[in-house]
Amino acid sequence: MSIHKFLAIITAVVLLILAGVVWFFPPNDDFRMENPFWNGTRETFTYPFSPLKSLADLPQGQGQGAVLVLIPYVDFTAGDLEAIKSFVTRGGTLVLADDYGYGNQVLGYLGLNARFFATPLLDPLINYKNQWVPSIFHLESSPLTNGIESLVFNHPTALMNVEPAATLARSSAFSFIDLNNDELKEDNEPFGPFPVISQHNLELGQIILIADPSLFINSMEEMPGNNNLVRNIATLSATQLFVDQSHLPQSSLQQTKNLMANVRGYLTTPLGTLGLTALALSLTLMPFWRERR
Amino acid sequence: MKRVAIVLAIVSMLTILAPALLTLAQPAYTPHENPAAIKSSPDLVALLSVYSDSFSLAALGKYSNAQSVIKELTRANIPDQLKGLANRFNSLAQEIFIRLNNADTALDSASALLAINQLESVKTKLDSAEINIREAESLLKDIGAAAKSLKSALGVLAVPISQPIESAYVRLERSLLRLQELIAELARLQQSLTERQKVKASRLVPTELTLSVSPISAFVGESVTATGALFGSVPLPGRKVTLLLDNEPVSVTTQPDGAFSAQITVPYKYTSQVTLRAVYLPSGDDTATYLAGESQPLKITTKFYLSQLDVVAPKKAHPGFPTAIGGELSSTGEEVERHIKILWDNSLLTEKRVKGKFSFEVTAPPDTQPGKHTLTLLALPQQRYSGATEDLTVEVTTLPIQADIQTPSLIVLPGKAQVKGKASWGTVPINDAEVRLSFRQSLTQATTTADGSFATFIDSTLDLSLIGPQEITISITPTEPWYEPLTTKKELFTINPLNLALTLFAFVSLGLMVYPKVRAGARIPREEVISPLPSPEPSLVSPPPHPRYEFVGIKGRILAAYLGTLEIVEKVCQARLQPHFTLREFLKATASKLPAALPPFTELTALTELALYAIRHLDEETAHRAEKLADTIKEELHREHT
Repeated sequence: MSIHKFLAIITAVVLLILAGVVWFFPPNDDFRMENPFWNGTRETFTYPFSPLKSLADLPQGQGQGAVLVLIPYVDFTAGDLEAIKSFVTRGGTLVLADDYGYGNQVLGYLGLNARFFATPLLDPLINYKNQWVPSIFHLESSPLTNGIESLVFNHPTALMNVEPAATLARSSAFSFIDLNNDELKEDNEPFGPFPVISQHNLELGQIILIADPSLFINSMEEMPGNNNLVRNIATLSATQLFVDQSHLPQSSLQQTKNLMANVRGYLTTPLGTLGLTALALSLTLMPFWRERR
Repeated sequence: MKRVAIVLAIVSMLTILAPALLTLAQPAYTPHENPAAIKSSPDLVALLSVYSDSFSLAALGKYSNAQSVIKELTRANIPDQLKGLANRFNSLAQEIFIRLNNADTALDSASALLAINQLESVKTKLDSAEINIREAESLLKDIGAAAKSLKSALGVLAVPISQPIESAYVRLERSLLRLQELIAELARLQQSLTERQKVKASRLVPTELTLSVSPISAFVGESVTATGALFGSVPLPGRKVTLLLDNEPVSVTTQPDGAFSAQITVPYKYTSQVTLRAVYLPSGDDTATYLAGESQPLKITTKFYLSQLDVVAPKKAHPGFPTAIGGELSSTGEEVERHIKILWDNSLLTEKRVKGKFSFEVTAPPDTQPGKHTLTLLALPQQRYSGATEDLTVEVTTLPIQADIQTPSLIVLPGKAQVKGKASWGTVPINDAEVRLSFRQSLTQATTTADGSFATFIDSTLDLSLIGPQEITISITPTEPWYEPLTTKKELFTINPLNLALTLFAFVSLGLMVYPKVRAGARIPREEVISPLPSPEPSLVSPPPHPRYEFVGIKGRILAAYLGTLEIVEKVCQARLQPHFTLREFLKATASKLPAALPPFTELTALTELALYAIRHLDEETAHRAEKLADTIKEELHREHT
């Protein structure tokens, strides 16, 4: 066997094995609905939540009453922002869960005064294990907080410019905003309580702001109260519940998976299927054709 | 080779840099950490700081703020070893804040009462303040001791005790000192007020107030007449006396003989009695002469018609579905029309006018969640009729619907298939319900008709599937909120004829290509090698001789030439062609012993390999060449050994 043939076979085998591994190994990206690991959301967003690959696919009917959970870790295009605004103003519910991402871009476009602090909220005393994982006990009565005694956040931020009437959950009086990220309370750093969940109306729809998307990850779902919050979000809509996947960061593994899914999607079209069959036949019959020549 | 190296270097660099580029796109802070891997690290410095802050707040008189801080601390993440001590510390702190608040409030009241010469009440308040101050002093000692214990416990947890903990403890001690100063200040104030109370008691003239009422019993809303008189050492005319009917004030002025009279309306309070008393508070010049006076309290018996509300309602209800409730609103008086409010979980649902027995429908809000809820009927008080209320616990459930779905047993892809069905609750058809059918990647929607039925077509596009069962998900969402949405799954058997045909074609093509070769490969040896001739029995000591073959055809001639040569070569070289040897390996093994015959034997070996393994057919000339080479080898070997 010549060296060229040997290298070609080895390359093909390695590529096939790699493709198999990429295809079958679950993604480990933060917040992904396919991710079964601690930082994914597969255990949290089960049926009836469904993944949304593009904001262009949002239902735009008047008064459709669907719910969109949006974790904005990738910036938005003008088209995305318009799709979100149209969805909300026509009766949809937007659950915007952000800490250090692009949530303020959405809020600015929607014309709301509320903003995410986008700097860490620490609570040295009322917490699960350390100050980065604060417990939230101050909850106002509402359908969203129904049956919840407390929530546990994970590396959250806080909300600002929120009216008291719109606040559904607040951090403790001991919490503070760590402006210089030194994990210590400085004199210029404001003390709590801070709003961490709020509810706002916009024309026919409503917007729920949550200052930490991490309370949706699989490992946080076991915390008391967190699973009830997801259940309550699910009851906000009798129609459709979407979880946006298009504004989550993508690892190389996920990008490759997407590429393979796109290729597979193309191959499942009539043209793609025919092309694949033609290619397979050509490769199979090539030696025969060569010999004839 | 150089180009390959450059390409590999570029690819390697990109691979190394790619994760860094991804990292740049991520948020500036870590979005989360695995809670299972988080190490518990309670902030002990923050705990001490919060205690000192709360005591400082109390020292400023902000007792309720201090209490809130300590109350919130009950949820703090405190190490198990410290929990008992911290809880005790919290309860002591709460108690001292309550005591200080009581003392402060009592002293404020005493001061205000002293200003209007109500010396009896002043004494009561000052006594209360004294008790609270004494308790606070005692509690402060306990807190000081507990703070020392807390410091020791923290020292055990953080050995050696850190500078921040030491500083926080010093701050706590300072705040306790400020609290001690506050207690001393309150004690001084209490003493001062007591002195002033004693001075006033010795200088001022006591006053006396009499009070009577007629009638002593009345319906709510009726008037009664209150009469009385105010005396100092003599009757006091032109003085303002306040009549308090259950603390609702009515002012009257005394006549020249010190007497007063007033019509008072019995309030609409549906209790068995109300209390009336008269109070005189000196004002103007009187404050320097008279003490305040208060009459003995009088009880006025109130009369009203007691209402009773009896309600009968089903224990279960459904969201948005009207539920009939009935009952009776009775009273000890005549039957009159009454106003009833119906509340659902303390929110107003509807209002009704009823008289005696009633029955009407109430509807649970459409967005009610399943579970237990409270239905309250509130009969409002009306004139002489008291109010009444009845709370009922209602369990809200949704009604499960059924669906009879008919799908084709076989679907040919790509194409359309009709799916029919009927949705109902028992025998009640569900109309206008939204039906969503999800099959593979297509989604179809339909709506049920008046009889609950629906019929629609599902689209199935072409894909890579061949044949087999596939799942269809049907979800039915009724418009009526009392029905529970239904989701069901069914399996359909699908056939994709195009893919089947293409696959078949591919296999047939492959078969057509492979089969002739397999056949040709099998035919050649059968054509050339007829059968092995029987060989003599091999001896036990010498290796077995080669089997004898009878060769025909071109390949046979070449093989015969090689075998003929092989026997001589084995003899000359004393080496045997073992079964695991290839022809080339045998050639290599014997090459050194065949100096002159090596070139022809090499060529003969190559021709024999061609005859054995090559696909192409060999010609007559090749066979002739092999035979000639065999002769040459034999001659060379013969010459060498003779």
